[in-house]
Amino acid sequence: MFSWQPRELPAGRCALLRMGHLTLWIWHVPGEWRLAALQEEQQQATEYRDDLPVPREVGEWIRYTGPAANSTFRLLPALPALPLAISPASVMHLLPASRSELFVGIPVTVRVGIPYGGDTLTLAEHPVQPLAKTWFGQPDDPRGELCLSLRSRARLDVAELGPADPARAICALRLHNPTAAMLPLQSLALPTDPLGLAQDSEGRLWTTDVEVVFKGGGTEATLRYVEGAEAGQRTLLTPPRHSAAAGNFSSRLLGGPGR
Amino acid sequence: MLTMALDWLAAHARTLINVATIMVVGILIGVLLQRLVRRVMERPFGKSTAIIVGKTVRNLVIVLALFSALSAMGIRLNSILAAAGVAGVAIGFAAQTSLSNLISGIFLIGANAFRIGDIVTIGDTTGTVHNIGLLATEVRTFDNRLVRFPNEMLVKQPIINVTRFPIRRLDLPVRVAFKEDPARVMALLREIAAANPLCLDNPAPIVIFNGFGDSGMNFTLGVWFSSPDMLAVRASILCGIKACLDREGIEIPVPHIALYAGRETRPFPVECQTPPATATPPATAERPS
Repeated sequence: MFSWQPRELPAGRCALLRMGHLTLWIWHVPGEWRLAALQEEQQQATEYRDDLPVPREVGEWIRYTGPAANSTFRLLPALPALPLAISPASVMHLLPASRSELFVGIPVTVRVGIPYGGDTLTLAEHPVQPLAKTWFGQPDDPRGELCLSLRSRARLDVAELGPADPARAICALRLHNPTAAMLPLQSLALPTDPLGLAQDSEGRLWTTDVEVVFKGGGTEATLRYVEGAEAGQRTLLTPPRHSAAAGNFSSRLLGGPGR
Repeated sequence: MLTMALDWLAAHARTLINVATIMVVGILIGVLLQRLVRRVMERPFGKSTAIIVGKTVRNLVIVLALFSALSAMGIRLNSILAAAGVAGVAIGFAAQTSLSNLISGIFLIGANAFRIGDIVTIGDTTGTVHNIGLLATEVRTFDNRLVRFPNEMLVKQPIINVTRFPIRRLDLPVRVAFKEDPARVMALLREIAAANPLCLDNPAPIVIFNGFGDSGMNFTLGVWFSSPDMLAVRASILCGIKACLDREGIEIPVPHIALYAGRETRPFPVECQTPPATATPPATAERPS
Protein backbone atom coordinates (compact mmCIF):
# COMPACT_ATOMS: atom_id res chain seq x y z
CA MET A 1 0.00 0.00 0.00
CA PHE A 2 1.43 3.35 -1.00
CA SER A 3 2.06 5.63 1.95
CA TRP A 4 1.04 9.28 1.76
CA GLN A 5 2.59 9.98 5.17
CA PRO A 6 5.53 12.38 5.75
CA ARG A 7 8.89 11.05 4.62
CA GLU A 8 12.44 11.74 5.69
CA LEU A 9 15.04 12.64 3.11
CA PRO A 10 18.42 13.59 4.60
CA ALA A 11 20.34 16.40 2.96
CA GLY A 12 22.28 15.22 -0.04
CA ARG A 13 19.82 12.42 -0.89
CA CYS A 14 17.51 12.22 -3.84
CA ALA A 15 14.11 10.52 -4.03
CA LEU A 16 12.22 9.29 -7.06
CA LEU A 17 8.48 8.82 -7.46
CA ARG A 18 7.03 7.06 -10.47
CA MET A 19 3.26 7.15 -10.65
CA GLY A 20 1.11 6.96 -13.76
CA HIS A 21 2.82 9.06 -16.42
CA LEU A 22 4.65 11.15 -13.83
CA THR A 23 8.29 10.81 -12.92
CA LEU A 24 9.15 13.11 -10.04
CA TRP A 25 12.61 13.72 -8.60
CA ILE A 26 12.98 15.28 -5.16
CA TRP A 27 16.50 16.32 -4.21
CA HIS A 28 17.28 17.61 -0.74
CA VAL A 29 20.29 19.87 -0.93
CA PRO A 30 21.39 21.49 2.37
CA GLY A 31 19.17 24.53 2.81
CA GLU A 32 16.94 23.85 -0.14
CA TRP A 33 14.65 21.44 -1.98
CA ARG A 34 14.90 20.79 -5.68
CA LEU A 35 12.14 19.25 -7.75
CA ALA A 36 12.10 18.00 -11.32
CA ALA A 37 9.08 16.46 -13.03
CA LEU A 38 8.73 14.61 -16.29
CA GLN A 39 5.64 13.36 -18.07
CA GLU A 40 6.40 9.96 -19.61
CA GLU A 41 4.62 8.67 -22.68
CA GLN A 42 3.98 5.28 -21.14
CA GLN A 43 2.13 4.62 -17.91
CA GLN A 44 4.39 3.31 -15.14
CA ALA A 45 3.89 1.18 -12.08
CA THR A 46 3.90 3.16 -8.86
CA GLU A 47 7.34 3.21 -7.25
CA TYR A 48 9.07 5.30 -4.58
CA ARG A 49 12.83 5.10 -4.00
CA ASP A 50 15.24 7.23 -2.05
CA ASP A 51 18.45 5.31 -2.61
CA LEU A 52 19.27 6.60 -6.06
CA PRO A 53 22.09 8.93 -7.11
CA VAL A 54 21.18 12.38 -8.34
CA PRO A 55 20.24 12.06 -12.01
CA ARG A 56 22.23 14.07 -14.48
CA GLU A 57 19.54 14.79 -17.04
CA VAL A 58 16.04 15.35 -15.75
CA GLY A 59 15.17 18.56 -17.49
CA GLU A 60 14.87 21.59 -15.26
CA TRP A 61 15.29 21.58 -11.49
CA ILE A 62 13.01 23.98 -9.65
CA ARG A 63 14.61 25.19 -6.39
CA TYR A 64 12.90 26.09 -3.11
CA THR A 65 14.93 27.64 -0.35
CA GLY A 66 14.12 29.18 2.99
CA PRO A 67 15.24 29.45 6.57
CA ALA A 68 13.49 26.30 7.79
CA ALA A 69 14.59 23.57 5.44
CA ASN A 70 14.46 20.39 7.49
CA SER A 71 14.61 16.88 6.10
CA THR A 72 10.87 16.08 6.12
CA PHE A 73 8.61 16.34 3.13
CA ARG A 74 5.25 14.89 2.22
CA LEU A 75 3.61 13.61 -0.93
CA LEU A 76 -0.13 14.15 -0.99
CA PRO A 77 -2.77 13.28 -3.55
CA ALA A 78 -5.10 15.98 -4.81
CA LEU A 79 -7.73 16.40 -7.46
CA PRO A 80 -7.16 18.51 -10.58
CA ALA A 81 -7.86 22.19 -10.05
CA LEU A 82 -10.12 22.49 -13.10
CA PRO A 83 -13.60 20.94 -13.12
CA LEU A 84 -13.91 17.56 -14.77
CA ALA A 85 -16.16 16.89 -17.75
CA ILE A 86 -16.91 13.23 -17.11
CA SER A 87 -18.22 11.27 -20.07
CA PRO A 88 -19.14 7.59 -19.85
CA ALA A 89 -17.27 5.51 -22.41
CA SER A 90 -20.67 4.37 -23.65
CA VAL A 91 -23.74 6.58 -23.56
CA MET A 92 -25.77 5.79 -20.48
CA HIS A 93 -29.45 6.31 -19.86
CA LEU A 94 -30.97 6.74 -16.46
CA LEU A 95 -34.50 5.42 -16.35
CA PRO A 96 -37.37 7.68 -15.25
CA ALA A 97 -37.87 8.03 -11.52
CA SER A 98 -34.82 6.00 -10.67
CA ARG A 99 -31.52 6.20 -8.87
CA SER A 100 -28.12 4.80 -9.72
CA GLU A 101 -24.63 4.93 -8.26
CA LEU A 102 -21.61 5.17 -10.53
CA PHE A 103 -17.95 4.86 -9.53
CA VAL A 104 -15.62 7.07 -11.52
CA GLY A 105 -11.81 6.86 -11.36
CA ILE A 106 -10.11 10.25 -11.39
CA PRO A 107 -6.35 10.58 -12.03
CA VAL A 108 -4.90 12.49 -9.11
CA THR A 109 -2.25 15.15 -8.96
CA VAL A 110 0.71 14.74 -6.61
CA ARG A 111 1.52 17.58 -4.26
CA VAL A 112 4.96 17.94 -2.76
CA GLY A 113 4.79 19.71 0.57
CA ILE A 114 7.11 20.58 3.43
CA PRO A 115 6.32 21.45 7.06
CA TYR A 116 5.89 25.17 7.38
CA GLY A 117 4.61 27.00 10.41
CA GLY A 118 2.68 24.03 11.78
CA ASP A 119 1.08 23.35 8.42
CA THR A 120 2.16 21.81 5.14
CA LEU A 121 3.32 24.21 2.45
CA THR A 122 2.77 22.92 -1.07
CA LEU A 123 5.84 23.43 -3.23
CA ALA A 124 4.49 21.98 -6.45
CA GLU A 125 1.67 19.90 -7.85
CA HIS A 126 1.95 17.58 -10.84
CA PRO A 127 -0.71 15.44 -12.57
CA VAL A 128 -0.04 11.72 -12.82
CA GLN A 129 -1.91 11.73 -16.10
CA PRO A 130 -2.28 14.87 -18.20
CA LEU A 131 -5.93 15.28 -19.18
CA ALA A 132 -7.00 17.14 -22.29
CA LYS A 133 -8.94 20.33 -21.82
CA THR A 134 -12.49 20.55 -23.02
CA TRP A 135 -15.26 23.13 -23.11
CA PHE A 136 -18.49 22.28 -21.37
CA GLY A 137 -21.26 24.11 -23.19
CA GLN A 138 -21.59 25.91 -26.48
CA PRO A 139 -18.61 28.00 -27.64
CA ASP A 140 -20.43 31.28 -26.98
CA ASP A 141 -22.22 30.06 -23.87
CA PRO A 142 -21.49 32.49 -21.01
CA ARG A 143 -22.24 29.65 -18.56
CA GLY A 144 -19.81 27.35 -20.36
CA GLU A 145 -16.80 26.17 -18.48
CA LEU A 146 -13.28 25.10 -19.28
CA CYS A 147 -12.87 21.58 -17.92
CA LEU A 148 -10.57 18.61 -18.11
CA SER A 149 -11.92 15.80 -20.21
CA LEU A 150 -12.31 12.46 -18.46
CA ARG A 151 -13.68 9.35 -20.15
CA SER A 152 -14.87 6.85 -17.61
CA ARG A 153 -16.16 3.32 -17.63
CA ALA A 154 -18.53 4.50 -14.90
CA ARG A 155 -18.76 1.17 -13.13
CA LEU A 156 -21.82 0.32 -11.12
CA ASP A 157 -20.09 -2.05 -8.72
CA VAL A 158 -17.17 -0.96 -6.58
CA ALA A 159 -15.79 -4.51 -6.71
CA GLU A 160 -15.13 -4.05 -10.45
CA LEU A 161 -12.62 -1.32 -9.73
CA GLY A 162 -9.81 -3.77 -9.13
CA PRO A 163 -6.93 -3.40 -6.69
CA ALA A 164 -6.11 -0.11 -5.03
CA ASP A 165 -4.28 2.33 -7.29
CA PRO A 166 -2.68 5.36 -5.63
CA ALA A 167 -2.76 7.20 -8.95
CA ARG A 168 -6.57 7.23 -9.10
CA ALA A 169 -9.21 8.49 -6.74
CA ILE A 170 -12.67 7.03 -6.83
CA CYS A 171 -15.67 9.28 -6.88
CA ALA A 172 -19.07 7.82 -6.07
CA LEU A 173 -21.70 9.62 -8.13
CA ARG A 174 -25.23 9.04 -6.93
CA LEU A 175 -27.52 9.92 -9.80
CA HIS A 176 -31.17 10.64 -9.24
CA ASN A 177 -33.65 11.16 -12.03
CA PRO A 178 -36.91 12.11 -10.35
CA THR A 179 -38.59 13.07 -13.63
CA ALA A 180 -40.81 10.95 -15.84
CA ALA A 181 -38.37 11.22 -18.75
CA MET A 182 -35.40 9.04 -19.64
CA LEU A 183 -32.13 10.83 -18.96
CA PRO A 184 -29.36 10.24 -21.52
CA LEU A 185 -26.17 10.98 -19.62
CA GLN A 186 -23.52 12.14 -22.06
CA SER A 187 -21.34 14.31 -19.93
CA LEU A 188 -21.31 15.79 -16.47
CA ALA A 189 -19.33 18.82 -15.33
CA LEU A 190 -18.04 18.07 -11.87
CA PRO A 191 -16.35 20.87 -9.91
CA THR A 192 -13.47 19.38 -7.95
CA ASP A 193 -12.86 22.27 -5.57
CA PRO A 194 -15.36 21.05 -2.95
CA LEU A 195 -14.06 17.47 -3.04
CA GLY A 196 -11.70 16.17 -0.39
CA LEU A 197 -9.60 13.02 -0.66
CA ALA A 198 -9.50 10.23 1.90
CA GLN A 199 -7.75 6.85 2.02
CA ASP A 200 -9.37 3.60 3.12
CA SER A 201 -7.69 0.69 4.86
CA GLU A 202 -6.80 -0.95 1.53
CA GLY A 203 -5.06 2.16 0.26
CA ARG A 204 -7.82 3.26 -2.11
CA LEU A 205 -8.38 6.97 -2.49
CA TRP A 206 -11.94 8.21 -2.24
CA THR A 207 -13.36 11.63 -2.96
CA THR A 208 -16.31 13.13 -1.16
CA ASP A 209 -19.48 11.50 -2.52
CA VAL A 210 -21.54 13.52 -4.98
CA GLU A 211 -25.30 13.43 -5.33
CA VAL A 212 -26.56 14.53 -8.73
CA VAL A 213 -30.22 15.30 -9.02
CA PHE A 214 -31.53 15.93 -12.52
CA LYS A 215 -34.09 18.71 -12.54
CA GLY A 216 -35.70 17.87 -15.85
CA GLY A 217 -36.87 20.15 -18.62
CA GLY A 218 -33.36 21.21 -19.49
CA THR A 219 -29.79 20.31 -18.77
CA GLU A 220 -29.59 21.52 -15.22
CA ALA A 221 -28.68 19.36 -12.27
CA THR A 222 -28.15 19.98 -8.63
CA LEU A 223 -24.92 18.70 -7.12
CA ARG A 224 -24.57 17.98 -3.47
CA TYR A 225 -21.33 17.01 -1.80
CA VAL A 226 -21.86 14.56 1.01
CA GLU A 227 -19.81 12.32 3.23
CA GLY A 228 -20.68 8.69 2.58
CA ALA A 229 -21.46 6.10 5.23
CA GLU A 230 -17.89 4.77 5.06
CA ALA A 231 -16.35 8.18 5.54
CA GLY A 232 -15.65 7.45 9.20
CA GLN A 233 -13.48 4.47 8.29
CA ARG A 234 -11.31 6.52 5.94
CA THR A 235 -8.43 8.85 6.73
CA LEU A 236 -8.75 12.32 5.30
CA LEU A 237 -5.56 13.12 3.39
CA THR A 238 -6.41 16.25 1.44
CA PRO A 239 -9.19 18.64 2.39
CA PRO A 240 -11.22 20.37 -0.32
CA ARG A 241 -9.51 23.27 -2.03
CA HIS A 242 -12.44 25.45 -0.99
CA SER A 243 -13.84 23.88 2.10
CA ALA A 244 -16.58 26.49 2.44
CA ALA A 245 -18.35 25.03 -0.59
CA ALA A 246 -18.29 21.47 0.69
CA GLY A 247 -21.75 20.18 1.53
CA ASN A 248 -23.48 23.07 -0.19
CA PHE A 249 -25.84 22.76 -3.10
CA SER A 250 -24.52 23.80 -6.43
CA SER A 251 -26.11 23.94 -9.84
CA ARG A 252 -24.22 22.63 -12.84
CA LEU A 253 -24.88 21.62 -16.39
CA LEU A 254 -25.70 18.05 -17.07
CA GLY A 255 -25.25 16.60 -20.54
CA GLY A 256 -28.83 15.69 -21.16
CA PRO A 257 -30.93 15.85 -24.26
CA GLY A 258 -30.36 19.56 -24.64
CA ARG A 259 -26.65 19.20 -25.25
CA MET B 1 7.61 94.79 1.74
CA LEU B 2 8.08 91.85 4.09
CA THR B 3 6.15 93.69 6.76
CA MET B 4 3.30 94.25 4.37
CA ALA B 5 3.22 90.60 3.45
CA LEU B 6 3.26 89.55 7.06
CA ASP B 7 0.46 92.00 7.85
CA TRP B 8 -1.59 90.60 4.96
CA LEU B 9 -1.00 87.04 6.16
CA ALA B 10 -1.98 87.96 9.69
CA ALA B 11 -5.15 89.64 8.45
CA HIS B 12 -6.15 86.71 6.22
CA ALA B 13 -4.76 83.79 8.24
CA ARG B 14 -8.17 82.47 9.16
CA THR B 15 -9.38 82.61 5.56
CA LEU B 16 -6.25 80.88 4.28
CA ILE B 17 -6.60 78.12 6.85
CA ASN B 18 -10.24 77.66 5.88
CA VAL B 19 -9.37 77.47 2.19
CA ALA B 20 -6.56 74.99 2.80
CA THR B 21 -8.80 72.87 5.02
CA ILE B 22 -11.60 72.84 2.44
CA MET B 23 -9.21 71.80 -0.33
CA VAL B 24 -7.45 69.09 1.70
CA VAL B 25 -10.72 67.65 2.97
CA GLY B 26 -12.25 67.91 -0.51
CA ILE B 27 -9.33 66.06 -2.11
CA LEU B 28 -9.39 63.40 0.61
CA ILE B 29 -13.12 62.85 0.21
CA GLY B 30 -12.69 62.73 -3.57
CA VAL B 31 -9.96 60.10 -3.37
CA LEU B 32 -11.91 58.04 -0.83
CA LEU B 33 -15.06 58.21 -2.95
CA GLN B 34 -13.02 57.22 -6.00
CA ARG B 35 -11.77 54.11 -4.20
CA LEU B 36 -15.23 53.29 -2.90
CA VAL B 37 -16.78 53.63 -6.35
CA ARG B 38 -14.07 51.41 -7.86
CA ARG B 39 -14.56 48.76 -5.21
CA VAL B 40 -18.34 48.76 -5.53
CA MET B 41 -18.51 48.96 -9.32
CA GLU B 42 -15.61 46.72 -10.34
CA ARG B 43 -17.43 43.42 -9.95
CA PRO B 44 -20.75 44.27 -11.63
CA PHE B 45 -19.55 46.74 -14.27
CA GLY B 46 -15.93 45.80 -14.93
CA LYS B 47 -12.61 47.39 -14.12
CA SER B 48 -12.60 49.93 -16.95
CA THR B 49 -15.98 51.43 -16.10
CA ALA B 50 -15.14 51.46 -12.42
CA ILE B 51 -11.89 53.34 -13.05
CA ILE B 52 -13.50 55.99 -15.22
CA VAL B 53 -16.54 56.55 -13.02
CA GLY B 54 -14.23 56.69 -10.00
CA LYS B 55 -12.07 59.35 -11.65
CA THR B 56 -15.15 61.35 -12.65
CA VAL B 57 -16.53 61.29 -9.11
CA ARG B 58 -13.16 62.34 -7.66
CA ASN B 59 -12.82 65.24 -10.09
CA LEU B 60 -16.37 66.43 -9.42
CA VAL B 61 -15.74 66.46 -5.68
CA ILE B 62 -12.49 68.35 -6.14
CA VAL B 63 -14.21 70.93 -8.37
CA LEU B 64 -16.92 71.37 -5.74
CA ALA B 65 -14.23 71.80 -3.08
CA LEU B 66 -12.54 74.38 -5.29
CA PHE B 67 -15.78 76.35 -5.65
CA SER B 68 -16.28 76.19 -1.89
CA ALA B 69 -12.74 77.42 -1.34
CA LEU B 70 -13.26 80.32 -3.74
CA SER B 71 -16.48 81.17 -1.95
CA ALA B 72 -14.64 81.10 1.38
CA MET B 73 -12.14 83.56 -0.05
CA GLY B 74 -15.01 85.92 -0.78
CA ILE B 75 -14.89 85.53 -4.53
CA ARG B 76 -18.31 85.65 -6.15
CA LEU B 77 -19.09 82.46 -7.98
CA ASN B 78 -21.77 84.07 -10.16
CA SER B 79 -19.27 86.13 -12.06
CA ILE B 80 -16.87 83.18 -12.40
CA LEU B 81 -19.63 80.93 -13.70
CA ALA B 82 -20.76 83.59 -16.16
CA ALA B 83 -17.22 84.00 -17.40
CA ALA B 84 -16.86 80.24 -17.53
CA GLY B 85 -20.00 80.03 -19.67
CA VAL B 86 -18.59 82.45 -22.23
CA ALA B 87 -15.20 80.75 -22.10
CA GLY B 88 -16.90 77.36 -22.41
CA VAL B 89 -18.39 78.31 -25.77
CA ALA B 90 -14.99 79.42 -27.03
CA ILE B 91 -13.24 76.37 -25.62
CA GLY B 92 -15.96 74.15 -27.06
CA PHE B 93 -15.23 75.40 -30.57
CA ALA B 94 -11.51 75.02 -30.04
CA ALA B 95 -11.75 71.59 -28.49
CA GLN B 96 -14.18 69.85 -30.79
CA THR B 97 -11.88 66.86 -31.26
CA SER B 98 -11.35 66.44 -27.54
CA LEU B 99 -15.08 66.62 -26.90
CA SER B 100 -15.69 64.10 -29.67
CA ASN B 101 -13.14 61.80 -28.03
CA LEU B 102 -14.77 62.30 -24.67
CA ILE B 103 -18.25 61.43 -25.93
CA SER B 104 -16.84 58.49 -27.90
CA GLY B 105 -15.12 57.30 -24.74
CA ILE B 106 -18.43 57.30 -22.88
CA PHE B 107 -20.03 55.35 -25.73
CA LEU B 108 -17.14 52.87 -25.74
CA ILE B 109 -17.44 52.26 -22.03
CA GLY B 110 -21.19 51.86 -22.35
CA ALA B 111 -20.84 49.44 -25.23
CA ASN B 112 -18.39 47.35 -23.19
CA ALA B 113 -16.60 46.33 -26.38
CA PHE B 114 -13.45 45.49 -24.48
CA ARG B 115 -11.97 45.65 -21.03
CA ILE B 116 -8.54 46.30 -19.58
CA GLY B 117 -6.48 43.16 -20.16
CA ASP B 118 -8.37 42.03 -23.27
CA ILE B 119 -6.37 41.32 -26.41
CA VAL B 120 -7.72 43.38 -29.30
CA THR B 121 -6.92 43.97 -32.93
CA ILE B 122 -7.50 47.52 -34.13
CA GLY B 123 -6.46 48.09 -37.73
CA ASP B 124 -2.96 46.68 -38.03
CA THR B 125 -2.32 46.77 -34.29
CA THR B 126 -2.81 43.80 -32.00
CA GLY B 127 -2.11 44.00 -28.30
CA THR B 128 -3.43 44.07 -24.77
CA VAL B 129 -5.73 46.89 -23.66
CA HIS B 130 -3.55 48.77 -21.19
CA ASN B 131 -5.82 51.63 -20.22
CA ILE B 132 -9.20 53.01 -21.22
CA GLY B 133 -9.39 56.74 -20.73
CA LEU B 134 -12.12 59.24 -21.45
CA LEU B 135 -10.13 60.68 -24.36
CA ALA B 136 -8.00 57.80 -25.57
CA THR B 137 -7.42 54.09 -25.19
CA GLU B 138 -3.95 52.64 -24.83
CA VAL B 139 -2.97 49.28 -26.26
CA ARG B 140 0.31 47.57 -25.39
CA THR B 141 1.57 45.60 -28.36
CA PHE B 142 3.30 42.25 -27.96
CA ASP B 143 6.65 43.83 -28.79
CA ASN B 144 6.08 46.16 -25.84
CA ARG B 145 5.08 49.38 -27.55
CA LEU B 146 2.26 51.55 -26.30
CA VAL B 147 -0.19 52.66 -29.00
CA ARG B 148 -2.65 55.38 -28.08
CA PHE B 149 -5.92 55.41 -30.01
CA PRO B 150 -8.20 58.44 -29.75
CA ASN B 151 -11.61 57.15 -28.70
CA GLU B 152 -13.27 58.86 -31.66
CA MET B 153 -11.21 56.64 -33.95
CA LEU B 154 -12.25 53.48 -32.10
CA VAL B 155 -15.93 54.30 -32.50
CA LYS B 156 -15.51 54.61 -36.26
CA GLN B 157 -13.69 51.38 -37.05
CA PRO B 158 -14.07 47.67 -36.36
CA ILE B 159 -12.39 46.32 -33.23
CA ILE B 160 -11.69 42.61 -32.94
CA ASN B 161 -11.77 41.43 -29.35
CA VAL B 162 -9.62 38.33 -29.46
CA THR B 163 -10.19 37.21 -25.88
CA ARG B 164 -13.87 37.98 -25.36
CA PHE B 165 -14.77 34.30 -25.35
CA PRO B 166 -12.72 31.85 -23.27
CA ILE B 167 -12.20 29.50 -26.19
CA ARG B 168 -11.27 30.09 -29.82
CA ARG B 169 -10.74 28.13 -32.99
CA LEU B 170 -7.54 28.13 -34.98
CA ASP B 171 -7.93 27.24 -38.67
CA LEU B 172 -4.77 26.00 -40.33
CA PRO B 173 -4.53 25.36 -44.07
CA VAL B 174 -2.81 22.10 -45.03
CA ARG B 175 -1.81 21.16 -48.57
CA VAL B 176 -0.73 17.69 -49.71
CA ALA B 177 0.22 16.28 -53.09
CA PHE B 178 -2.41 15.04 -55.54
CA LYS B 179 -1.15 11.46 -55.29
CA GLU B 180 -2.17 11.13 -51.62
CA ASP B 181 -5.38 9.58 -50.33
CA PRO B 182 -7.57 12.43 -49.03
CA ALA B 183 -9.47 10.19 -46.61
CA ARG B 184 -6.19 9.08 -45.01
CA VAL B 185 -4.97 12.66 -44.77
CA MET B 186 -8.19 13.72 -43.03
CA ALA B 187 -7.91 10.85 -40.57
CA LEU B 188 -4.31 11.79 -39.78
CA LEU B 189 -5.24 15.43 -39.21
CA ARG B 190 -7.92 14.34 -36.74
CA GLU B 191 -5.36 12.18 -34.94
CA ILE B 192 -2.94 15.11 -34.71
CA ALA B 193 -5.61 17.25 -33.05
CA ALA B 194 -6.67 14.46 -30.71
CA ALA B 195 -3.09 13.84 -29.60
CA ASN B 196 -2.42 17.49 -28.77
CA PRO B 197 -3.23 18.17 -25.10
CA LEU B 198 -3.81 21.86 -25.80
CA CYS B 199 -6.63 21.16 -28.25
CA LEU B 200 -10.09 20.86 -26.76
CA ASP B 201 -11.98 17.69 -27.52
CA ASN B 202 -15.23 19.61 -27.22
CA PRO B 203 -16.02 21.43 -29.48
CA ALA B 204 -14.52 18.74 -31.67
CA PRO B 205 -11.78 19.59 -34.16
CA ILE B 206 -12.94 20.00 -37.74
CA VAL B 207 -11.19 18.75 -40.86
CA ILE B 208 -12.40 20.09 -44.20
CA PHE B 209 -11.33 18.99 -47.66
CA ASN B 210 -11.45 22.32 -49.47
CA GLY B 211 -10.72 21.02 -52.97
CA PHE B 212 -8.01 20.82 -55.57
CA GLY B 213 -5.56 23.68 -55.77
CA ASP B 214 -2.86 24.54 -58.28
CA SER B 215 -0.18 22.51 -56.53
CA GLY B 216 -2.06 20.01 -54.40
CA MET B 217 -5.18 19.16 -52.43
CA ASN B 218 -6.19 21.76 -49.86
CA PHE B 219 -7.46 20.90 -46.38
CA THR B 220 -8.31 22.96 -43.31
CA LEU B 221 -7.68 21.72 -39.80
CA GLY B 222 -9.68 23.71 -37.24
CA VAL B 223 -8.90 23.13 -33.57
CA TRP B 224 -10.53 24.72 -30.54
CA PHE B 225 -8.36 25.86 -27.67
CA SER B 226 -8.38 27.93 -24.52
CA SER B 227 -7.72 31.53 -25.62
CA PRO B 228 -4.51 32.05 -23.61
CA ASP B 229 -2.94 29.00 -25.32
CA MET B 230 -2.97 30.60 -28.78
CA LEU B 231 0.75 30.69 -29.52
CA ALA B 232 1.47 27.31 -27.96
CA VAL B 233 -1.35 25.67 -29.92
CA ARG B 234 -0.24 27.14 -33.22
CA ALA B 235 3.35 26.04 -32.75
CA SER B 236 2.54 22.55 -31.48
CA ILE B 237 -0.08 21.82 -34.13
CA LEU B 238 2.16 22.98 -36.98
CA CYS B 239 5.02 20.86 -35.63
CA GLY B 240 2.62 17.93 -35.23
CA ILE B 241 1.39 18.22 -38.82
CA LYS B 242 4.91 18.32 -40.23
CA ALA B 243 6.12 15.41 -38.10
CA CYS B 244 3.06 13.28 -38.85
CA LEU B 245 3.05 13.86 -42.60
CA ASP B 246 6.79 13.18 -42.80
CA ARG B 247 6.40 10.00 -40.75
CA GLU B 248 3.57 8.76 -42.96
CA GLY B 249 5.42 9.62 -46.15
CA ILE B 250 2.84 12.14 -47.27
CA GLU B 251 4.22 14.83 -49.53
CA ILE B 252 3.73 18.50 -48.75
CA PRO B 253 4.07 20.01 -52.22
CA VAL B 254 5.79 23.24 -53.04
CA PRO B 255 3.95 25.49 -55.49
CA HIS B 256 4.76 24.30 -59.02
CA ILE B 257 3.37 24.36 -62.58
CA ALA B 258 3.15 21.23 -64.74
CA LEU B 259 3.66 21.75 -68.49
CA TYR B 260 1.90 19.57 -71.03
CA ALA B 261 2.59 19.26 -74.73
CA GLY B 262 -1.02 19.53 -75.70
CA ARG B 263 -1.88 15.84 -75.26
CA GLU B 264 -3.39 14.39 -72.16
CA THR B 265 -1.28 11.36 -71.45
CA ARG B 266 1.79 11.32 -73.64
CA PRO B 267 4.97 12.64 -72.09
CA PHE B 268 6.60 15.81 -73.21
CA PRO B 269 9.16 14.74 -75.87
CA VAL B 270 12.73 15.41 -74.96
CA GLU B 271 15.51 14.91 -77.51
CA CYS B 272 19.20 14.78 -76.59
CA GLN B 273 21.62 16.30 -79.04
CA THR B 274 25.37 15.96 -78.86
CA PRO B 275 26.89 19.39 -78.45
CA PRO B 276 29.31 20.30 -81.33
CA ALA B 277 32.23 21.01 -79.03
CA THR B 278 32.46 17.42 -77.75
CA ALA B 279 31.69 15.74 -81.08
CA THR B 280 34.20 13.22 -82.44
CA PRO B 281 36.51 14.99 -84.86
CA PRO B 282 35.87 14.01 -88.48
CA ALA B 283 38.39 11.65 -90.06
CA THR B 284 39.26 14.17 -92.70
CA ALA B 285 40.10 16.90 -90.26
CA GLU B 286 43.52 18.37 -90.59
CA ARG B 287 45.94 17.76 -87.81
CA PRO B 288 47.98 20.72 -86.66
CA SER B 289 51.45 20.74 -87.97
